[in-house]
Formats: sequence, C-alpha cells, structure tokens
Amino acid sequence: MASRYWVGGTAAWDGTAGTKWALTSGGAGGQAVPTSADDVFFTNLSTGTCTISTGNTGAKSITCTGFAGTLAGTATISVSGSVTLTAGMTASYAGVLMIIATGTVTSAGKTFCAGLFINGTGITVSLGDAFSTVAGGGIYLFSGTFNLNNFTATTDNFSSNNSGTRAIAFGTGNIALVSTAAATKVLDMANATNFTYTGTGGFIRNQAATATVVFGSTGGTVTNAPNLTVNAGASALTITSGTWFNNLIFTGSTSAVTAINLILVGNLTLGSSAAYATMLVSHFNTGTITSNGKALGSLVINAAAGFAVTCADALYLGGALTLFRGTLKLKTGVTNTVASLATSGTTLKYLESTLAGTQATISDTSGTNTVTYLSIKDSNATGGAVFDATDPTNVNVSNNTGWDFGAAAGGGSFIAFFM
Amino acid sequence: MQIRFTIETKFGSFSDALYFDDDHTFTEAEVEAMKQERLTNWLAVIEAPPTEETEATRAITDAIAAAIKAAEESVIGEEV
Repeated sequence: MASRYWVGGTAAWDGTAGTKWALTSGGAGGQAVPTSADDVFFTNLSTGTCTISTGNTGAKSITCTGFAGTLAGTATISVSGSVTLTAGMTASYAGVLMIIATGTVTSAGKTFCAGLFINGTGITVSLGDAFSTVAGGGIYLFSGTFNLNNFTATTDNFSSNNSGTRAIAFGTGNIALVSTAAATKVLDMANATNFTYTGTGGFIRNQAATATVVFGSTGGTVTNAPNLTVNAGASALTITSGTWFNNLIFTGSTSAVTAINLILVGNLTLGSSAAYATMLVSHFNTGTITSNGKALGSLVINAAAGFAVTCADALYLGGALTLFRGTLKLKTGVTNTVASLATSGTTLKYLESTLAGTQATISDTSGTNTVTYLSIKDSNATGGAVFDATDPTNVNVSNNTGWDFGAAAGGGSFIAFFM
Repeated sequence: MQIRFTIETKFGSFSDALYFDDDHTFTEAEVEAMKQERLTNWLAVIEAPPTEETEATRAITDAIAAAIKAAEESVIGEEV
C-alpha cells in the first residue's frame, strides 16, 4: 500500500504511468499508476485536469484537499474506501464510481458521477454530506449498506433489484428520485429479497415526468417496505403490481396514480388534487388512511390480528371494500362511501368506528353486501344497499343500525336480549 | 469542523453538511450563504422540468449498463 499524488497537467488517469503520479504532494512524477491498494490524493500542489479513463486500476481511496483543478472523465473507477471532494475543485466526472469496501463519500456540494455503485458483502458506504449524481445518473446497491448518515441523496433513479444482502440506513435522510425523462423506473427494487432498512427517512419524488416505481414484488415484507413521498408534480405515476410500501404519502402532487395490487404497511395519505381511482390497495399492519376527499379504486384490509387500519377522514372507494383480517376503523361524523362491501376468509375481522360509542356511517347505494366472520360495532349502514350480516359467524357487538343480523344475531344482540 | 444543516422544503427536507478548518474565518452570513447555495442547487435539480433524452444522457445510460453488467458478474452466487 502506498500513496499516489496527482502531479498535474491535463492527463488521463488510465493505465499509463507517465509523469503524472508522485509519492508525495508536490513531488516528482513518474511513479506507478495507483492500484486498489493505494490512497490517491489531489492537493493544493496538484494542478490541471485529471480525466478518469479506461485502463485505470482503481484506488483504495481518493482524497481531494485544497485541489483547485478538475476531476473529469466517464470511465468506471473502483474505489476500496472513501472518496472526498473539496469545495474549490471542479468535479465533472460522469462515470461509474464503484465503491467496493467500507468508506465515506463526501462530495462538498459537487454533483458528480453517473452511477454510484455499492458492491461489497458486509461493507458500509456512508455519506459525509448530501450527495447528487449527474443528470441521468443512478445509485445502485448490489450488496452492503448504504448509510445516508441522515443526509439527502439525489439521483435520477435508485436500483437494488437483486437478492444480495443489503440495507439502507436512512436515519432521517431521504433519497430524492429526480429523473425528468419520461417513463423512467425511478425506483427499481422488484426483488427485495434480503433487503432491510433502518430509520424514518425514505424515498421522495417530484412527479415532473411520468415514472414507475416498484418494490418487493419478490421479497417485499411488512418490515422492509420503505416510505415513499410524492410531494409535487403532475405527471402520472405507475406503481407496479405487487409493490410494497410502508408510508405512502402524496402531498402537493396532482399526479394520476395507477397501482394494481399495492400492498401498504403504514400510512396512506392522498393528495387533494390528484386521481387515485385506479389504486387498488391491500393494507397490512397498522396505519392511517387519509383520503382528503379522493377516491381509491378498492381497499382490502389484511392486517394481522390486533392491528387496525384507521381512517382519518371520509373513506371513498370507487370499488370494493374487502375485510380479510384485522380491524378497520371508519371515521365518525362523515359518510364513508363504498361501491360494495365484502369479507373474505374465516378469521374474525372487525369493523368499528374511530370513536367508541359513536357510529361511523358506511354508505353503499345498491346491491347486497353479505359479510361473514365480521365483528361489527358502532356502525350505521345506509345508502340503499342491503347490508346482510345474517350469517351466524358475524358478531353484532353494539350500537349498529342499518344492518340485517337476522334471527341468529351474534353476541351483542344476544347480550341486548337479556338486558 | 462539520456544520450539518437541514432545511424543510415543499419537496421534503434537504440535509447537508459544510466542512471547514477549525480556524476558518467565514462569517455567519457567509456560512448561511453557503447553505443557501447548496439548497438552491438542490432545488434546481428537484424542480427541473421534463427532459428529452440527449446524447449525454444516452452515453450515461450506456456506461451504466456496461458497469451493471460488470457488477453483476462480480456478485458471485447472487441474483442481480
């Protein structure tokens, strides 16, 4: 292992030694080309433009301190550690920076590299400050941990579509997906097998152009589904079928959203100026749905026992509400509208209101909604449709109107009979 | 020394850091201006309008595709 100092002049960092590398800062050139065992330095005594070119044999680290020249080029370079840029330099490098060992990337406000590749079993690549790839660039996590260190990473697209053991440590940081090219897959994580994350951050997106996101259609789970916030923009967003998200928040976006078989773990917040009629949501775990007056296509409550999905405001469903497992708490004082209501499976599920003792209204205009294995409490069923709860597996807990529990009403009616 | 900062925007929070020598002589206003410059640069990216593919972005796409292929080949035994 040795140190290599860029001497200067305008030259290529390739496989040719030339006179561009020295053993000390300001030293004489003529040393060998750095390898993956060598720390590379650009100092105040280095000058000119270093163009990273084909033939380079990588570096152990790259450190720019007081360097006022330019780091350029488009060739891939492999670094086995940290990369540190400095404010006074120019970084026009637009190649692929492949980090293959634990290190920190500090970019000093520079937008650089077309691709940040993180690829090493057990390694951790941390940010020393905010990080941005060049336009058209991406961050690719093959294996290891990408530690945002609470900073913001900005890139056209993020890809980690593989089964390597890998993680993102968001902390409070976010990864902004900023592609402005139409129809870009800005989040490409169809295979989330062996992926985990920590922290409260997530992905953020301004829908300035049409885009697709996918996460975990293979390997998505309640514990590894990330957050996505779509906070501006009017272009259509497509969420690929089978995608998982934890919190999915549309704030300030007026995009039409298409999502067939979207699996949610946490909160869903719809924007008040967008269209979600083709969002078909299956909700796992505990979360809050805030509709902001917008209609979802359909909703399946598939939460584990003891978990509840709570509506913060009126729920509008252009399609079916299906209760499979867990609890759905409809908002009181508003009319929750569905096109149909159904249940599925033989696990007892619960329909309640957000305020115990106060009814929540569920409205359907036509047809017959037949439910089974449903515990019903504080519910006012209305709108013209028949709400058929006559199956003996249902439980009429208390304070229900508009439901037909028939002669074989469940526990609540049983208790009421003797009271 | 490191100065971390987070600025809330309608596009979400932007978190960054500035690095200085411990004996730096930048005034508070100058440091604030540097933070603002970082934010301005970030917002310019976030708010960029839709674009068409250019020769430059096409070259980047090609370079990344080649690098992905190489990376995939290096992940022995793992599906990528």
